[in-house]
Amino acid sequence: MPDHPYMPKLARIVEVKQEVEGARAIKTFRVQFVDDGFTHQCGQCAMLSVLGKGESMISISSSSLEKEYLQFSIMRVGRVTTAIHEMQEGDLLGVRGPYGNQFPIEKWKGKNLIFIGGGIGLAPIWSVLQTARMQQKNYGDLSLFYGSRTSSDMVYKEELQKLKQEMTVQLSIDVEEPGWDDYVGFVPVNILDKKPSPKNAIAITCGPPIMIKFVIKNLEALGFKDDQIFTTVENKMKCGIGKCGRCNIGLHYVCKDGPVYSWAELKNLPQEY
Amino acid sequence: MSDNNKLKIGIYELTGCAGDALLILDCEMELLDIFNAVDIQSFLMAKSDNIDGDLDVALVEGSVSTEREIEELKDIRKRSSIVVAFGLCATVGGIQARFSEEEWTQNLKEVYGDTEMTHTKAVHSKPIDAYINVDFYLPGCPVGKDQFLNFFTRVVQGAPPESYPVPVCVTCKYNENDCLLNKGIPCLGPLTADGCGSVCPNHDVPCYGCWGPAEGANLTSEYHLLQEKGFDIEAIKKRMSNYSGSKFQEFFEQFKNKESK
Amino acid sequence: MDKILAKKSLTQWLKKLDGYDIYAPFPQDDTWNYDLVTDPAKVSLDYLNTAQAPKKIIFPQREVFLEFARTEDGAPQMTETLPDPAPFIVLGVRPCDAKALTQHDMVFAGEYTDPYYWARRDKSVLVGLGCATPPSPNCFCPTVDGSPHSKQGLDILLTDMGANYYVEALTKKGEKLLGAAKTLFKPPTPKDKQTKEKVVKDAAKKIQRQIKNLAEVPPKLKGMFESELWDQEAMSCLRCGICTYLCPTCHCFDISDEVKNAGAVQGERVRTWDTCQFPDFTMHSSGHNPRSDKASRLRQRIFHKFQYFVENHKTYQCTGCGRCISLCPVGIDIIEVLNKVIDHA
Repeated sequence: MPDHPYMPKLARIVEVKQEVEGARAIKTFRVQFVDDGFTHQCGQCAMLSVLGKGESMISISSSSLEKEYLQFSIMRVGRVTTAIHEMQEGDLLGVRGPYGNQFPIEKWKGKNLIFIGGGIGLAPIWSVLQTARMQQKNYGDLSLFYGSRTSSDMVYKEELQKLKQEMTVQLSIDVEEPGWDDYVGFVPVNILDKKPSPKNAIAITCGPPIMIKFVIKNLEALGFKDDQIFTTVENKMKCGIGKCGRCNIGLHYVCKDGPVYSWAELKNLPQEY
Repeated sequence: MSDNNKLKIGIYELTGCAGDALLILDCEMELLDIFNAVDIQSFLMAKSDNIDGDLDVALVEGSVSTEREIEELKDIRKRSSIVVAFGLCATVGGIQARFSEEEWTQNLKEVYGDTEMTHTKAVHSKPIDAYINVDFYLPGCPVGKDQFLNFFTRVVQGAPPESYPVPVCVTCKYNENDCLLNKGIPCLGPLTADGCGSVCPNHDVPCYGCWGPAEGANLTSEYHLLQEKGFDIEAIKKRMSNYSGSKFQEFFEQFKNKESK
Repeated sequence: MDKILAKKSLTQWLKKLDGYDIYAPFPQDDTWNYDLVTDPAKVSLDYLNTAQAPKKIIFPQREVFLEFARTEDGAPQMTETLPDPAPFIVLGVRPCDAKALTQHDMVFAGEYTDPYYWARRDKSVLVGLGCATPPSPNCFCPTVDGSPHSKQGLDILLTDMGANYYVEALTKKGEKLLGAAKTLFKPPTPKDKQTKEKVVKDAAKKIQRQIKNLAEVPPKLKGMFESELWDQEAMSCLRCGICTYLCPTCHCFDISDEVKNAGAVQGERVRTWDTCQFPDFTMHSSGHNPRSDKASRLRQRIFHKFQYFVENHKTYQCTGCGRCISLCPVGIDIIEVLNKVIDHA
């Protein structure tokens, strides 16, 4: 297959896991390249291709240290994601990438890392969480705040239970539910409640746009500086390589210059995302 | 001869010219493929052994103009997973829906006088979404062959159909036509939904709007532009309301209020 | 290499250009558009400017990226369809349109090279025609760092001197074209050179429109993101998209899969022109839309051309051809908008 930016490489689905059922279904797919593939850094994304339906840019949620497969956690929202959801183990998918910049994890050695995710937003930051966890001695304390609308809307449910034994995990759901012992309320409010310390810390957040907005606001209220807060944004994308002109926030193309931004960088861009 | 795996399709006609249903039969080269790819359970124009049961996709043509049609429509909705408004009359009400309720009442009296309808009663013509939820709209008077085939292919593939949220101007520019509005010709391209291939402007004929209103059309701007070009207000209103069915009524209401002041 | 070509020898020259497809402007309705030359005798460079920019020859409205099919056992097959055109000449390109192509070159190169664009661009030879008089009352190329006789992006520049063209071959590709008909080209006399200088000088003075201080615009725009100016200007916008389809510098595109039949999956992945002026350009599958209203889309167009592109590529993404001003049905005038930006407090 010629190696140019628009040609997808073929990858076989080796594992499918249903994370969330229902109208906002989420499935996790693990794929392996059929021929030569690519390696990635944490934070990067790939364009998944279903021939006949189109392409969709999805964050790679497996760690860069994971060499056996690439992992994508996908919510079913439109034509392409619906087609992907109908695929099973053994089916072939087109993958091209990796695109975008990466989390500057090298610069975070020795620091406390606070991961803050909402809903499907845990997937884009899962790669850096897994990497930090696999190299725990390089970093300070690791902690996770994660919330979703209901307990059944959470992704990586089994992995979260295991994580509880390794780090502080603060789970939350938006509305009361029988049998729920953890926090009830929105993620940004849970943060104000638990007051993580900004001292020697980096906060990494992702979720619905409105959640990110309030998380950043509350982190600043707790004393986090804008270069201590990192997020990953998304926009509608088609080419993935900064040419089709549609995913820009100001002079940046999210597919190429993003999707990872520190709040210091993001707040200087026009607030149009 | 129904295959259980094939999608069950029904094509229904309410009040209209039946041109949209006829268009399906006009797809002469693709007809065999169409009938093979799906299980057409009900299509009055084409078959006599029609079954009106549960359907995957129902294509409904025509506006709702009688009480009996309201019932028929609601029944179609109940037994179909997807309902498609097929053609201009179903999407916006068609030409018969361009009248306000008062005008319609007047027209009815003028045409039928005191004659009573025995089998049903006439109602003010409306598009089908006035009575039921519609899943997809295929506009056009009649629907375009290409647009219909694209839609049909997608449905059979199990994918959502392509939408055309842009005005005719987009295709008109692709076809390298000079803008008729710039030449002072009253073209309704910017107000009209795309999908026809800009057939009329390709031949220097201004767009009449027969695909119905485009999403987010700027009626005020076009109205003022046509006035600036020297067209009579009544003529503009008539032209804009020809194919817009009930959708531009609100826009015209504001003029009634302004003019009465 | 400088030469003189008599205008009446144009046809003879074109006839000698074997091995090239030639595109030239031809009259169509009330204007001109580029078309393939079938009879060199019918070519005349006596025209103003085309309605559609020549970018459509190098960056076509629709092109196929790859063909796909799914075989019996479900494995997808993809066949790349890289274009392989014969070398082609675009004749009579106005300097503004050629400069616009150099901007396309910037976009389609960089970190990733776009193979489809370059497969065509590398085979193109651009023969430009300088503007002795402005082709449009809305021309403003000098304001955006251009000129009626700019050489940017061209392989040959023709300057109109009445009965003759002053021919300047600017690249090896250009020289090769002159070499195909050596006898038709005479060396210029000192008088010829003088006449040419005069034509060029006079041409620059004839441009009527300009933006007062364009250099002020990019920094000014930075503070005007939330200004009400955009709502005001966008009010009359009819949403027809003319401004972006006819613009020689606009490069936005869409990639979509077109399926040919209802049985086994078979079709093409195509690239088509797209425009930032419609809501579905930035609409997410979830329904969230960062630019849901017209004002934000007009703002994006102005900012992209006069601020973002400047920061990324150090040049305005506008070459002053004036098409968007002449052809917008409701008269939204980019020069007026920019003047208002400069006047803004």
